[in-house]
Parts: sequence; structure tokens; C-alpha cells
Amino acid sequence: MQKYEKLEKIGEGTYGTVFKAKNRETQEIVALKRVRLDDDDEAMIIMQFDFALTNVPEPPHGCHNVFCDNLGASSHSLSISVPTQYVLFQGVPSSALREICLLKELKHKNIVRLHDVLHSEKKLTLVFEHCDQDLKKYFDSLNGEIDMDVVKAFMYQLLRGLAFCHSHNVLHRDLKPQNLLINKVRWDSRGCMQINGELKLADFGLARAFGIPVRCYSAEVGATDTLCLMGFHLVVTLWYRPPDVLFGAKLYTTSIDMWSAGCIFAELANAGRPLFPGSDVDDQLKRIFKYPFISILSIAGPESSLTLADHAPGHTHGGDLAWDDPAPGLQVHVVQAMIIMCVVQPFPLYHPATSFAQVVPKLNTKGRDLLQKLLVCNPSLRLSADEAMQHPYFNDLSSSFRNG
Amino acid sequence: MVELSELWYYRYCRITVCYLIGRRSGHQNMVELRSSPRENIPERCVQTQLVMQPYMERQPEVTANMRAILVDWMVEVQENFELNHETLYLAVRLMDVYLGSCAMPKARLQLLGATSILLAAKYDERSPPLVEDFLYICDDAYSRQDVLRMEHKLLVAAGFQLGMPLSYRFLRRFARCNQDTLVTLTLARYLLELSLLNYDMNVGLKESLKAAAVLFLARLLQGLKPVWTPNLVHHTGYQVHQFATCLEPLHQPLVTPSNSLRVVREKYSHRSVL
Repeated sequence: MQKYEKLEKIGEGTYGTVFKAKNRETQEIVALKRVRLDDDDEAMIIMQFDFALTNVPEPPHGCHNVFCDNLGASSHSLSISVPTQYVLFQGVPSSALREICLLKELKHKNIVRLHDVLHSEKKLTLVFEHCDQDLKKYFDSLNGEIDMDVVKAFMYQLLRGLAFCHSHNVLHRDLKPQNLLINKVRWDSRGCMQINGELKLADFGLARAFGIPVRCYSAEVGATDTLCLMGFHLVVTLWYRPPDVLFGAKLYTTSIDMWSAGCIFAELANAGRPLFPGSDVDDQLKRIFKYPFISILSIAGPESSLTLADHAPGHTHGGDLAWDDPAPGLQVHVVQAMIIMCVVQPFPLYHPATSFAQVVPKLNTKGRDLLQKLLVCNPSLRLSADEAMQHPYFNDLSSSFRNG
Repeated sequence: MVELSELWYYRYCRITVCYLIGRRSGHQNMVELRSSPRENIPERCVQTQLVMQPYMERQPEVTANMRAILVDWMVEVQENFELNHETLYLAVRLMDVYLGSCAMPKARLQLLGATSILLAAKYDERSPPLVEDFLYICDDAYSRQDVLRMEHKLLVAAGFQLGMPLSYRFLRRFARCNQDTLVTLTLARYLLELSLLNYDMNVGLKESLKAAAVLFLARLLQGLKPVWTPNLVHHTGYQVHQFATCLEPLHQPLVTPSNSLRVVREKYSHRSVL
């Protein structure tokens, strides 16, 4: 630890404490994520759980978090972090393990750089590049006003980072403003021209490399089960989760991140007002399906008719792929549930908005079109990150920004 | 087919399946990858981990036979804890990586095996077993501190890079591409798992080559004709002559089954494996 001089504590990450620090040799400012590995203090376990219990029941709308920090802790991610904290006494936590393995491969300007891993018997320290703040904090500082050029620049960088992850077979699975780090919007020396801020994906603690073939990956089932067994009621981050996964789709691929990107896009355009701030799975689905133009369009897709057979497992692959792993795409029960949700059973509780213009009033037509193509219920019809980057909405971004 | 690097091939496999799955919109851009395959080879490609280098002559105490006994036990642990097969293959690989990096007293060999499984399980499983479970299965021969220290050393030896190509995954991919039956695939998996015990089959060979060889052998044993089709050449990237020398050692455990190393055989004797 001599190499780095600790400056201040930034917060509690998914599985460790985060410090701002300075490299003594190069004077470079970094973020240190420290995980304690020694297990001499058994009382810590109990403390961690108390901590979780008192903080989990957060009001769904407020989204002002006590533990908000720049590397991804909030009351909502905290609930996920609890079992990981428990694993802390099991040596290197698996989330840290996966984050290190993945970030060693992912070197990109829109992904937070892992400079170094310092490993001793007592602790594991991940040395990250330092960013000014996370998107959540940035939202809080906005007072409801955001420059639409900043929205575009951030969104483009988010997609570029995602496209890189996906091309390297990594699913982030936990995209949310708290996990997006930004460097502030800067002005050039003349004080007139705006240089857009940088955005970087962070917190790959829940990310997965997807192997051959894509297996059934479910982000929090293990963690949630552990705590449920212990009698805790859990709130897991649901706001950015796609409906197919909410409905229990067993298999998902890069499309999971694209839905989250869509939600974040709308949140950016509304200067930090979350699009679907659901309080539980049921509420989350109702919030999504209260928009008839999302639900109907997206289950069937613009060019196909609404048939179950079209989405049935086995059918899509001529049956030959079905024997080893769960079939991809939407399982029948998921499609059925979606149809019931949006066609058979309207929800009088929520008053539907009639168009995207009401959902994201400040976003231009092209932007709304992009949003609509991301917020598609059927995962196989959702735009990919590469496709989204080609969308006309980004046409007026300067080529220097695109390449820079 | 052009000679491709092992890792690129591994990536290629992963992408292709994603492409198949993301049917209509194609969340993975296959075309782009095809046009510039070599740019996509990341840094870890230069690692030696892709093909394990022989190490046994540098080990003062450990022998290939001890290694076989250890792997046999690791298969038993995998079965008892109901872990993924990927976990087992990764664990064996981690163990080899460690043995390739430093000398190991034979008294600590079981600790290495257990810790390898622990680490692999943390990487691959949703809810990995606890350190306590491993202490128990080692009959408390080692302390908790031993396991955690070993984990540390193992991670350093592996350079924190656990995303290695595994023969098990290649096999699944190859069999799927060729639409082989579950019986053929299971037979191939049995052969592949038996080969984990054979030191010579775990050094100096590409993981994809091993997968192709066991699939060939499984098809041969079942009397399928032709044994090696152009489709298989295309998807595996191997001609028969490239893995011909592996066939005999891979077949060996079927001809002369070991009396002491029985776990894999018993595991695959259950009807439930099909």
C-alpha cells in the first residue's frame, strides 16, 4: 500500500471500501477498492447484516441514497452486496474475482480501467482509474435540467462501452446510473466551446463472460436465495431489468444490457427521473406495461404476428439446439404472461401515457425512435449496441467525438 | 480452414452461438468478426495458459500418478457438491497451472486440489460451496488459513485470469454443430473426463484438439460412418491426422480400466447421466 497515498474515503462499493488515492511516484489520482480478506473478526458478519436490514426498505421514488458513492453502492445495490459481504470471509469474493478477470480483458476508453491488483494475505486492493463522480450523483446536482447534447454524448459513450463488452462476450447485467462513472463536462480554454464529459462503465461485480454456448445465467438468484433462506425480505435493483427477465426468462444474452441502456437513456433525457422506479417485481412490470405502445409493439415486434409458436423453444432452431441448454428467446410461459399483462388485464392503477412524447418530452423525434427500439419486450427484437450506435439520432455527433 | 489461434477459435465459437441465438436482430455482429478475426485476439492470447507446458520433471515430489489420484478425488468432490462440469475442468486446469509454476510438497497436494475447486466454483457457480465444506472433505487436514493462503498463491500463479478455454466447452459446441446425439456426446464427455486423469493429455495439447479427438473416438466407438465428416472438419478446424496421436492414450482407460481410479467410471455408470 506504500505505493499509494490514501486521500479520502469515497464510499462502500459492492464488495469493499473505496478510497481516493494518489500514486506516490506518478502523482496520478486513482480509486482503490479494498476488500478485507482476514477473518479474525467474526462479529463483522452480524454487523453487515444489521447494516443491510436497516437500510434496505427504501422508498421507491425517493432514490436518495445514504450510501451513494461513485463505485456503485446504493441502498438498492446494497441488498445484492449483503451476501457478497458474507462471502468476504470466504477468501476472495466471487464478485471481485469475476470483476478482475473481466476487467483485465476489457481495456476501452468507456470502461473503467483496472490499473493493478494488489494482493496480500490481509486484503485485496483493486486499483482503478479515478473518475469525478457517478451518473447518479451527477443527476442529483442537475436540478432537473440537462443539456440535450450532454444526453447524446453520454448515451453514445454508454453504447460504445457496451458494444465493446458485448463484442468481448461480457454481459454487464447490472447497468444503472450508480455504475456509470463520469468525468465532468469541461469547457475549453476559450471558455466557449463545450467539451462533453466522459462516461465509463464500472462495477463488473455481477458481470459474466458468456461461454459456449450461452448457459442459463441468472444474476441474483444465488444471492437472493441465500438471504431469503435467512428470512430477509430483499429488494434487488429492478428498475433497469427487462420484462423477459422479470418474468423469469431463464436465458438471456446481450439484450439484457440493452433494455437497461434504454431505461438509462430515458432517465438521462429527463435529467435523472427514473423511467420505471418499481418497488417490487409486480410493480415493476405494471410500470412497464402501463405504456401500451411499449407492450404491444414489442412482444410481437413490428413485422411479425403475435403467435406463441413463433417464440416457442425448439421451434426457432429447428429443434436441434434444444436438448442441452434451455432454448433461447422467450419461453412460452413468459410470452403468455406478457400477453395477459398487456392485453387481457389492463391496470387501472396506472394511467397510461399515450406516446413517447409524454414520457420523454425533451427528447427529439430521432431520440424517441431510438428509445422505442431499445425498450422492446422481446429480447431478440431489441436493438444491439452496435446497431444503436448507428442510429440517426447520433448523426450530428462530430466525427472527432465518435473517434476520440 | 486457416490455422487459427486457439483463443481466437474459442472466441469464434462463443460468438457463433450467440449469433445463432440472437436470431433476428443478431446481437453479435458476426460479419464484423469474420472480417477482422485477428484484431480481436486480446492480450491473454500470449499467455502460456492456452497450452499447458510440461512441468512434471520439475516437480521434486509430485508424480503423474499422484496427480491422477488427486483428479480422481476432484471428480468425486465435483459430483458430491453437484458442481458444474466447467468448474471441474477449470479446477483441474488451475491445479496444473499452479504445479507448472512452483514445486509442491505431496502432503499439500490435496489442499491444492480443494482450493482449485473452491476458486473455480467461485468463478463459475451461482452459490459456491463454503471454505468450511472443503475443510470437511479434506477431513480437517488443513486449516482455514491454509486454504485462504493457497487461494492467494493460486490466483497469483494464474495471474487472476480464470477465463480460460476449456475442452468441455469446445466439445459441447462441436457436438451441437454436428447435431450429434446425447449418447454420443455423453460418451465423448466420459472419454474427456477420463483424460483429465492422464497427465500427458493435459500438457502440450490444445483444449479444442482434445475435444475434437474425443468426439472422433466416441463416433468411432459407436460405429457411426463416416466418422469424421467435412462438417466436423469445418466446425472443429481439425483433420483426423492432427489428433491421431491422441487417440490411443484417450482410448486406453477403456481398454485397461484402472482398479484404483474408479470415480469417473462409476459416475458415468449411472443411468441418470443420460
